[in-house]
Amino acid sequence: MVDYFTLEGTHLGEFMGIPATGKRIKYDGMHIFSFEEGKIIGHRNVLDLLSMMMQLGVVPMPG
Amino acid sequence: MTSQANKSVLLRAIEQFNNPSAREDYFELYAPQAVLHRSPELPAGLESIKQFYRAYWAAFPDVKLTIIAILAEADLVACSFEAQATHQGTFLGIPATGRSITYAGATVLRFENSRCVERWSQIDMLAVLRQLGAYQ
Repeated sequence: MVDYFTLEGTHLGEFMGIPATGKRIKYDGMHIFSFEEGKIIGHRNVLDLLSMMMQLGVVPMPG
Repeated sequence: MTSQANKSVLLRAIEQFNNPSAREDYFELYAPQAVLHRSPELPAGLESIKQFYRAYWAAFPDVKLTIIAILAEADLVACSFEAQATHQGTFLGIPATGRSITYAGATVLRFENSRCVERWSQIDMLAVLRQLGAYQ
């Protein structure tokens, strides 16, 4: 099963070592879930973390 | 077209993507007014898709996509993949480093008449930039 989503939220707590910034972020991602007998047994995610980090002000524009 | 036929179209397109002498045929995957959402945000239409990929292949001429999972239902095909490439040309302003990179990606494509008319794709660009040494 696959879903492509847009996630929106506010950075209110520490995340990946980054203290809360209070910033509102929005980024896209995809999940690919593997199922067995109606339950998830594995997943693969690809998320637009670069965009998220840029919105948090942690990472500059490349180049 | 059946979803299995759409899946075959994508698999063939990926073979062409991976083969430097067949690369121009990769664009047969897309309908002339295909829309690629986000990553990257491109103007609609085949010309901008061609420009984007030709620039990408100039930077990463030996890129190989390996499919990890592929599924199809109704007019959609989804796949997750891994890419491997060597940085041999300027990419996003970063001159060739010669570094080998590997990154994950996942894509959903919507087909009409066995061509992709709409696509949503994510790749781990953060991982790419880190491997190219863009951040310390």
